[in-house]
Amino acid sequence: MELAIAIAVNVVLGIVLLGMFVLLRSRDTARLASSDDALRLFRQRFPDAVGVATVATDGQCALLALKDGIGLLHRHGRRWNSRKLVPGELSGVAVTGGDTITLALADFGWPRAHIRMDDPDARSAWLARLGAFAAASGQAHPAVTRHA
Amino acid sequence: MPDAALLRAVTVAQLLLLLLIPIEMLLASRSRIRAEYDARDTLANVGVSVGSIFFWGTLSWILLGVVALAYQHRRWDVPFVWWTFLIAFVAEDLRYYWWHRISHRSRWFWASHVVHHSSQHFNLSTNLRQSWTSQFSGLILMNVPLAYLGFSPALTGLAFSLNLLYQFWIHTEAVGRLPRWFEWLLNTPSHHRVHHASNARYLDANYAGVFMIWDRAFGSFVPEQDEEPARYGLVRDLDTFNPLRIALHEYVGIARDQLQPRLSWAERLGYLFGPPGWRPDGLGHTTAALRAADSARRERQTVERAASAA
Repeated sequence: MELAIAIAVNVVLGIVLLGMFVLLRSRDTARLASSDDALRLFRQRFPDAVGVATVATDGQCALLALKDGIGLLHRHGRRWNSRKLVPGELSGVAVTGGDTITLALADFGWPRAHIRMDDPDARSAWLARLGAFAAASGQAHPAVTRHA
Repeated sequence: MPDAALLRAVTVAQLLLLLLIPIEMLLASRSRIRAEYDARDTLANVGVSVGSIFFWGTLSWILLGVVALAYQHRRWDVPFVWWTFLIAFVAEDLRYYWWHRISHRSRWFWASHVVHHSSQHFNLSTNLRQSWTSQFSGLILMNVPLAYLGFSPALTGLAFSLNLLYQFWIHTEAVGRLPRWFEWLLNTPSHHRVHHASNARYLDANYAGVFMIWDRAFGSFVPEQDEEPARYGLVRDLDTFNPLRIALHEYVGIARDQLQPRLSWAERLGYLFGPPGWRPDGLGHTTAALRAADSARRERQTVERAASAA
């Protein structure tokens, strides 16, 4: 009896969840409109942040040149994830696909970031800045504990 | 009391409660209630749930073995009657409070429990996002005292199942504040929103399972403030929907910390059992540090506002 109910509930739940997945998936159209928009969203996590944001071509990501370091903003589902890069966290910087800066992060929970930048000048400037940050970090050990 | 039948009834009730998830989802999609679902987040919850059910199913013998062993050596024989059930329910809720509190305050245990807090959404499907490693974090030993006193596994099992059953409905934004007496005595969606928030002032608060009195008695109660909506998730954002990464990321963080060269044993233990965010240099983002920084920022803002008004 219980097994039958368990199976029935899970089948119904599975079907409904799949249906809702299709329904909800098509609604996520948020994009960063401007540098100010990116900074405003970044400040929701880091209220004291001061700096200038460079928004990725697809509006899904931004790099922030902060007064005290480098910030990263990324669309994650319906939320915006923010990160201030800490020394030792940036384990690699590369250009992929000709126009995308790919960051490798020493964090199992946020292992990579892809920032598409069509503007070659902005891309070069950011590559230099990120490269310098990674080099300056040296062998520093990043703190990546999360809690709530 | 027919304990087996009762346990089965609770199990069936738990399964039926799952049907509330699509109902909340549907009402949310039509803006009928305050709730937000993200397709990938919900799918990740289901994925994590599959893993947690698998590990629970394959490893629950550890918990059952520990409890059975303690019960074999029990001091008394506590009968399964209504009033012993009430005692077991309250005692089990107290055990849950301390289990939960330790799970948040020490990193080794947090590495297991963090899974449940990793979603940036707060809805009924958040219930599905449960730990994969609860059987070997060590906290199952907290089940020993009641068994040793003579409360049968069936009695405590029923009490714990009902406790979890109660906690299902509090994972929602759809319910606002309830009558004051209710909010004072029992855990509610409002209290649990605070618990799942990553705002500095809400960190490490409201550990209760059913009775809010434990938080009030042990100083961990924080009320929900209208001017500060909860921001769900972790202090440091998790940028993945991959169930494996969600379930294991903190263990990888611990391993990376432990692999640093030239650490003393005290530092290794600090990284393992210290509060989440602990660092040997004292500069880690622990709850205490985050709260201090948040208070300083609020004071600064107050001074700036006063200065600009003058």
